[in-house]
Amino acid sequence: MALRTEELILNMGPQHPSTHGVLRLIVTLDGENIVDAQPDIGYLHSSVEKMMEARTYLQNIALVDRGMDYLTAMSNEEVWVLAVERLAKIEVPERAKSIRTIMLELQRISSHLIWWGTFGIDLGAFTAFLWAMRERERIMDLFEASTGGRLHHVYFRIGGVNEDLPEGWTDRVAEFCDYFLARLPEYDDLITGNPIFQARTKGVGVLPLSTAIAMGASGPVARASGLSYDVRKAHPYEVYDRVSFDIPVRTAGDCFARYEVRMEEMRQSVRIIRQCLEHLPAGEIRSKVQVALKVPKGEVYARTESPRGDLGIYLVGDGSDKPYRVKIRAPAFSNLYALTEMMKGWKVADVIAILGSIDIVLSDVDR
Amino acid sequence: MSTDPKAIPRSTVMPLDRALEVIDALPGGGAVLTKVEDVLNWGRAASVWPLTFGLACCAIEMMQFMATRFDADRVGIIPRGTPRQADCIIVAGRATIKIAPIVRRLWEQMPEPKYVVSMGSCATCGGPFYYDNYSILKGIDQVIPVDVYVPGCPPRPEALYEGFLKLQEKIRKEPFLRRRIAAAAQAGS
Amino acid sequence: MSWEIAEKLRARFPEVELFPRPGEGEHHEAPPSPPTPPAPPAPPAPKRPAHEAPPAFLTPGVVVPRERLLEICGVLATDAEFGLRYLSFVSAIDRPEAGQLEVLYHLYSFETKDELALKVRVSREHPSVPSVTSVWDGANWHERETYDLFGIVFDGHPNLRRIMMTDDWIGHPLRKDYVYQDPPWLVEAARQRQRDIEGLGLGERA
Repeated sequence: MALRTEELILNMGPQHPSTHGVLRLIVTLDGENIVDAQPDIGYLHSSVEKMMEARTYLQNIALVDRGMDYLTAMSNEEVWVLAVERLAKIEVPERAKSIRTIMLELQRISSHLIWWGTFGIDLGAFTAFLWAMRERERIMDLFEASTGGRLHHVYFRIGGVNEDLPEGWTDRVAEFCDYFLARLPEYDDLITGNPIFQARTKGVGVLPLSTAIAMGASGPVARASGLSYDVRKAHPYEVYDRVSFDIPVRTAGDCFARYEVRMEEMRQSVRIIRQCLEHLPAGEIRSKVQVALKVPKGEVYARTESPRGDLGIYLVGDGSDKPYRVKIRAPAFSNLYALTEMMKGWKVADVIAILGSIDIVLSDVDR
Repeated sequence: MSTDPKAIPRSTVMPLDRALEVIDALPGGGAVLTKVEDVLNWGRAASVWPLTFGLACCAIEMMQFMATRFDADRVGIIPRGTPRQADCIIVAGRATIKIAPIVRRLWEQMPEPKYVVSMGSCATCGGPFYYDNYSILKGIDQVIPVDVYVPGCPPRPEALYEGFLKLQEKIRKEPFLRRRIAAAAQAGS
Repeated sequence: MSWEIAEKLRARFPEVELFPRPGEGEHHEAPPSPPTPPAPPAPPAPKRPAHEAPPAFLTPGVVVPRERLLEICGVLATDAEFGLRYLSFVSAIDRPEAGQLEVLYHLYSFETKDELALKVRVSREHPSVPSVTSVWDGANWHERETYDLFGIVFDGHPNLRRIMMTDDWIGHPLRKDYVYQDPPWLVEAARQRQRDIEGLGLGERA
């Protein structure tokens, strides 16, 4: 006689320690096996796109910091000012470009550190969280010295950056680079080589390349599945076409591959920062742009590589000082959709590992 | 760099010798009730266990507050994963209309006495999301009562520290036991 | 930013309409006028501020008739000539003065690094377009979001529900004429809180 089984629906969230915010996962279980996992989102939908239509181009810089992915405020500023600069045909001085690149890469490290720390907590390694926060606090100090803010900087301006770097700041960044590179082998000792960690991530939550592309995944999630694509290489902005760095690619497509890609990205970011520091040009930091900038009629799509993937803004200008419509293409939104495919067939204990490995920020998903 | 321990606000929790004084005075007789209350409040104030419930950006600073350098454990703040074990909820970040009923339910699930810390401008009044907005709640105090408001966007971990010290101050002054007994007497009569 | 891909698409499907190219005469305002409007006699243009210039479409794009959308998308995604296998997003632009909604798709090719914006114009009253989830699986959530915020119905979508707002939300917030109102339960909750506070005697002037 066959054993009669029933499917069980498990609600995870919106309050759950490991969902990285207010995500609700509706998991259908057959015993321990996941039959289906449907994310329920929108708990942090902050109507950013609507608010941007009512604010001037300059004011929106402060809004994209908060309304979009809050871990990477300057990546959001970057994609916004990039879209406006392209549409309004504004030139950016060389020094500002280099400063922006340094900031973006520091931001990438700090974002990946948060991911590394929370991924550690998810899999039971609290030390990872403490270590990651320790390093991140140093980056916060650097940000604070140059931009005045820890999390929300409002540092980029249309046509440049707000302020020049304070004296001695570049030395401190160089010092941080040395310090951080020395820490990374420790991270590997603690987590990467850990047999328990490997057992929980290797071969788990595989996302095949074709599925990744069809579902719109991007960033480290797609690169771990074998897609050798990075906006910084394909459509270089700022000074990315003048610095040398590698795109880490893995083909396994599992949680461990996504982990490896991000760890390698942090090393590459340090590499980029060092090159920028070496060739930091002197000169202007901002070109002259009106405060109430009127952007010509037209439409443009600007894209950047945020730590989470392909971040884009489709900007519709109508000739006034406010945008007519802004569409934010959020990488985490598509990456989270790919989660439904990654989860199928795995055990309920793997939910947390898979979810942690795609590195979502709910503010980016919901906007 | 504020790694200097002196730069970090010191706890104002009642020092141990003062507590011993209070405990020694217990057999005194008439004034026992208030004294027991003092001891209880001292203990409660020194072990505020907040619920880990991050909503938005402020949650990152809240994490930092509990992690290295700021180390909230020093003043007895230990995050708990479930509302049943928590006696304080930090509303860290903007709350949407969609999540407001859930915040309310989490608050209702917490055992009495419970406290609410509203962290950041968004949780306090809507903050930068006040105008032209259709989905953000204009202040979490529309759905749950708030004890401490921490301003900032987002507040620094030091600011959250200050908020918690204020909360501890409030807890220490509370007529906690008397209120309980009055409520019990009212229920009994 | 090559417009070749848009040209190629027009060569295959003559009914698609290219976005006005940068520096290509005056743009005719939506609603779409007949396919080939006679070029207006260009008066010697006086020097005007930049923001009054004709619209500049810096991203190559085409406007596609609603009926041919699925067919064209199928060709764009699978045909080796285009190879636009990646759907960046689906969204919409509200044009109330024209009584239209523009459904916007953005496609990308990893091989040639070409991008293409695709627009479909639908009426504001009963907007509906065929769903492209059969072509790009990733369109699923994007279409749900567009339905939620603009009220565009995607025919053939496997699960067309609201994604951002609650299921009982009234209206589609990203439309230009949307007026926000607090949901009734929230109004009542806020009133109750106010009564509680007044009962405590706080906030009253002595």
